[in-house]
This record gives sequence, C-alpha cells and structure tokens, in this order.
Amino acid sequence: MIGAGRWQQNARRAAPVLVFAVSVLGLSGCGEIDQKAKTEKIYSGKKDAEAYDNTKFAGDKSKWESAMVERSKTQNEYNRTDTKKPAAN
Amino acid sequence: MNSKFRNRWVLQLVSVAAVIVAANVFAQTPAPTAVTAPANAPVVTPLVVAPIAQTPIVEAPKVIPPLPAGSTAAPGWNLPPKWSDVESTGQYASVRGRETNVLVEDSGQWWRSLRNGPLTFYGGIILLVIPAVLLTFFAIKGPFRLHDKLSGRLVERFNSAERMVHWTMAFSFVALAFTGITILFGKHLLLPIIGPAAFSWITVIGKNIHNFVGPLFVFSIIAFFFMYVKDNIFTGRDFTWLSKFGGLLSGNHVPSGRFNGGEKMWFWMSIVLFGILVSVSGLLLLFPNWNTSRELMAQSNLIHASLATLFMATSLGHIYIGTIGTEGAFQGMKEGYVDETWAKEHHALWLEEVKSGKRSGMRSGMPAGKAIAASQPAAGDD
Amino acid sequence: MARMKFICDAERCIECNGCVTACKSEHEVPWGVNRRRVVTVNDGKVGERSISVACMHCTDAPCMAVCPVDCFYKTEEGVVLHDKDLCIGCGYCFYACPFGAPQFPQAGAFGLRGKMDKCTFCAGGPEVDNSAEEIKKYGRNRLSEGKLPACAEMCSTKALLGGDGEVIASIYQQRVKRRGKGEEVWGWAMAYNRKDAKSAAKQEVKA
Ligand code: SF4
Ligand code: SF4
Repeated sequence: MIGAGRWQQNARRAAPVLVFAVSVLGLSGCGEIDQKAKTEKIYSGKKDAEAYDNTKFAGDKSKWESAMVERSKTQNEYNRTDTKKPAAN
Repeated sequence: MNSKFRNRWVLQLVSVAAVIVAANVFAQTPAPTAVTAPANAPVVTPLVVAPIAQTPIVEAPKVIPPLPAGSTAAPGWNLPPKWSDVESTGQYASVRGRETNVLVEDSGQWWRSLRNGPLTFYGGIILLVIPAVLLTFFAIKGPFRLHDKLSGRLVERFNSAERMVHWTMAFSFVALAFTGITILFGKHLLLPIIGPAAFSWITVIGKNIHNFVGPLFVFSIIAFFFMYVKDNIFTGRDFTWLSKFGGLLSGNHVPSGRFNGGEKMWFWMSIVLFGILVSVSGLLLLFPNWNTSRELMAQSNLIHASLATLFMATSLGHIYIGTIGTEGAFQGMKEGYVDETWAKEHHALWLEEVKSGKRSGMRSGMPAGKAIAASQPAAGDD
Repeated sequence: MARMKFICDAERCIECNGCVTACKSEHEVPWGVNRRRVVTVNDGKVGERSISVACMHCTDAPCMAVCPVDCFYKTEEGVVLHDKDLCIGCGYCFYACPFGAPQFPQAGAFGLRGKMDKCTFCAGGPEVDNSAEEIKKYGRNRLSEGKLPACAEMCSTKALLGGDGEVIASIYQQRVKRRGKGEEVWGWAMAYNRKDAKSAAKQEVKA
C-alpha cells in the first residue's frame, strides 16, 4: 500500500509535465504548412545548348519553333486523308 | 506488483504519445480532394462513362448511355474506362520490369510533399534547435560536476566488449548521420556553396558510405541490445528518477542503478524503437533488387528519414550528457572505469550492488599502469 | 511557343509496342531499361484500352523536386532533362514519378542502381548536341535537328502524338469531335485527383 501512495504522489507530480507535453504535441498539429507542390528551382538554369543553337537553325529561335509546329502538324492524318477537311489548325 | 503496474503506466503514456505523434503526421497529409472531372480542350458533350466490367466480355452495361449526335461509337459497348479509376491497379504490360504494368502510382506525390515539406522543414528545425538548447544550457549551467573529491578507487563500468559494441555503433551512427543529412539537407545547404559537381561527388561517396555502413550499424544495434538490455529494464525507481528529471531541477541526484531513468529512456526509445524502425526501413531501401514496390519504398524513406532525425536529435542529448555535460562520464565509456565517487554520485544503487558483491565491479583485467584496487573485493565474482 | 507534350490516344493505341521499339533503337538504350512502355488496361475485358507511357515532362516535376543532388533541369520548351554526371543513383526520382519513367540499368544490393535513365523527349542532355558523348549517355538529340520524338513520329496509328502542345491538342480535339468519344486526355490531372485538376488538365494540353 505504501507503494500505491508513492505511485499517486509520482503521478501527481508528473501530471503537469504530461499535460504540458501532450498540449505541445497537440499544438504541433496546427503547424500545417502549405502542402501545394512547388518546383524547387535551384538548378533549373543548368547549362545546355538550346535546341536551335546549331548550324541548322543558326540560333534562330522562331525558325526552329515554326519548324517544330509544322512538323507537329504532320501528325494530323485528317489533313491527308480527308476531302471535306475540318477546320485547319 | 507495483513496479509492474507502474511499468504498464509508463507504457500507456508512451503509446498515447505515439498516437498523438502519428495523428499529427497524418494531419499533415493533404486531405483527399473531391474527384473533379478534368475539363479538357475538346468541346464534346460529356459522355456517361459505363462502369468497368469486371466479368468477362458478354456482359453489356445495363444503362446504355446516349451518344452525342453524329457519333460513330457503338452505344453502350466498348467505351473507354474511367481513367481516374484505373490509375494504380496493376494492368498488363509486355515490357518487363518493376511495376511496368502500373499506369499511375500516386503515392510518390504524397511522399514528395511530406519529404520536401514538413520533414525537411521541421527536421531541420529540430536539428538546429536541439544543439542550440544544449549549448545554451552548457553556457549557463556548465557541466554537472562531482561534489566530492575523487576517491582514486576505480570501478569497472563497461567491459571491453560492451565498449567495443558501443563505439562501433557510435562511429557508424555518426557516419550515417552525416551522410544522411547530406542527402536530405545538402541540396539546400551545401550545394549552393560548393556547386553541383563537387556536391554530387560528396553525395555519391556519402551514399555509398551510408549504404555499406548501414548494415554494420544494424548488427551493432542487435549486439548492443542483448548486451545492455538486462540493466535497462524499467523499475519503479526509474519513474521517480524521471518525474524528478534526474534531479536536474533540485540539484540532488536521485539514486539509480547501473543505468538511470534517462539512460533507460534513451535505450528503449532511441536505440530500440528508433533503431529497429530505422534499420528495417533502411534495409527495405537498401535492396532495390528485392523488387520492393515504389509505394513501400517511399513509405520506408519517410519513416527512415523522420525517425533518423529524431534519433539524431536524441543522440545529441546523449552525446552532450556523456561528454562535456557530465564530469567523468566519458571516461567510463572510453576506458571502462569510473571513479568510486562518480559511481556514488550518479549510480549509488549500482555501486552498492557492486560493493555488496551482488554484481562484479571487476569483470576484466585492469588496464596496464592502473595499479589501483577496484572497489571492495567482491565475493563470488562471475 | 507552347510546351512540348505527349498525348496518347487510348482509342487508337493497338499495343504494337512500335514506340517502345523506336525509342530503344533510336537511343540505343541500355539492356533492361525501357524509356517507354505500353500499358493495357482491362486486358481481355470490355473497355480494354492500351496506352503508351513515358516521361510526361511534368510542369511541376516531382522527380526534379526530390532529387537530392538537383541534377534535373527544364528546357525552355518544358522538357525535363537530367545530368547523368551528377546523378548518384538514389532512386528517389523513381519513387516520386507517378508514371514510372525513371529507369535504372542495375538493381543491386546495397542500393547500387547505376545512373538514372529516362525519356528525354529526344532532346539529349547537357552535353554538346549530338556529340558522341551525348549520344552515348542520353541518345539522339532529335529536337535540335528539327525533328519530333521518334516514338510519336513512328506511331503507326497516330495514337501517340508528340510535339508542340497546342498543335497536338488541337489535332486530338478534332479527332474527338469526329468520333464522339475518348475525350479524356490521360496525364497528370488524371494521375492525381487534384483540386486544381481543371487547370492542370488545361496546362497539360494547352500550356
Ligand atoms: S520523370 Fe516522371 S516525374 Fe519526372 S518529369 Fe517525367 S513523368 Fe514527370
Ligand atoms: S537517381 Fe539520380 S536523378 Fe534520380 S533522384 Fe537520385 S540522383 Fe537524382
């Protein structure tokens, strides 16, 4: 029975500490930070030649871009097979 | 009876704390958002998508959805699956490889947001705050000094095997901690300073150190557990010790056995609990040839990194107390012997046991040149 | 100019694996690595569809975000590339990527994986374009030659479209209008049921 008394004493002593610890832990739940994914742009400016920086396009960005757009359009086989063409893109 | 009861009490507290921590971790995960049908470029009357038939062919959908005017699609037949429903179920792929038949694995995004978000942020804060607190404490209060003069009599605290295992664990832990920190924080701290090429070299060396030292750490944890568990069982007086913060506030040491309440907390919480979880999750990550799924790997990584951070934080406390924080403590683990005065002030009950012969104070030979008698000759040495 | 994008039309894909083969031969991808694969959904059931998957060159790329050595970068056209010299083979990009795009030549004990390899949208790597070194590490750099990715250009049914996002989106749109079904473009927004799925879907197709 002596032991039980001591246990109660200990519990009483520890209670404020526990209440404090639990509330701190609970409070940490409020620290929700923005979850929206962002791109870390630390290293995005890495050195690499642009696709138009070569003899074929001579660094002309617009020339390369229009070449790419034209080439992309060739993937539309309606343009080749269709007589009543839908609106051209 | 009572001590058992108390043990259970402590256990319950630990589990309550664990639940709260877990609840917080889950609170951080983004709540699932409602499924919004993606509005894509095509301006077509949205189709009612037929339920995916799980049973083979013949069964046609019960509700035949109307088709938009001019459509060539067969009504109610062979409509595409609802893509948002098929995302992470295994499908078929003729290309062989790990999870090639999984169209979309969305656990990665969850892992990324936790790892790059709260884990890096709070983990970083913990690893900065703890040393700051310890150093401030040291600056203000200084180390725990011995009250009495050294007696000149030595007691053996750790035998050579115990020390060897401890230091294997300690050195591998430090190696793992530094290389692990490089992987999680280096991108933000070191890379901007030394540049990508040098940082990549450091990290690739660090990664290999981490991967090859890791298993050594696991073995040392296992050995450590079996060597030290006997004296780390919680008893009633440890609770008294803990409730008084080891006499930190009152300045009076609470008598303790070979290990005090704080050391036992460190043993059970960090070495056993964190140690096991960090080891298991680490081993899962260590063997890409085990064909572990990406989801499990991501989860392991999260457990691994977050608990390792806590492990590091608690180990800083342990290192502090064991070195500069307590006069004479480091000697015990370095040389294996402590002065009787130290033993009396820090581990009085242990010293009593040694003196009364219940426990040997001399389990291995004295180091050369230390011709001082150990404690009282103990009868019935083991 | 818009971003470079892939769209795979599940209504057309016949699972011929031509794109997989085209990629492997164009880039001489190491054994065991497949930058592109075809996944069949509802195999043998009503509503069976196949879809060709590779790196989707995400706008907000998870691989890039988790790489501990930050070896990824993004070109002006939104192609996600990486530097094999910096890669440490940790596998994090593989955990993070929703599409399983990053591949590793090895899977050995003690985390030995080798350097990560993934679809480059036929845009090579940081080395000099179409230099022997670049071809060895990343394969051919078709974009710098004014060509589109080999897989898309070689697709026999034109299920796999690749190139300027606006152009291929309008091709796809036209197609869906014609046949009256299959308007769900498969991609990031489909991968995550995100709140901003609408805007993400628009980005996928248009941006
Ligand atoms: S590798 Fe994966 S995560 Fe990275 S850009 Fe490609 S699809 Fe997106
Ligand atoms: S495997 Fe390479 S590319 Fe992928 S995250 Fe690790 S270091 Fe970066």
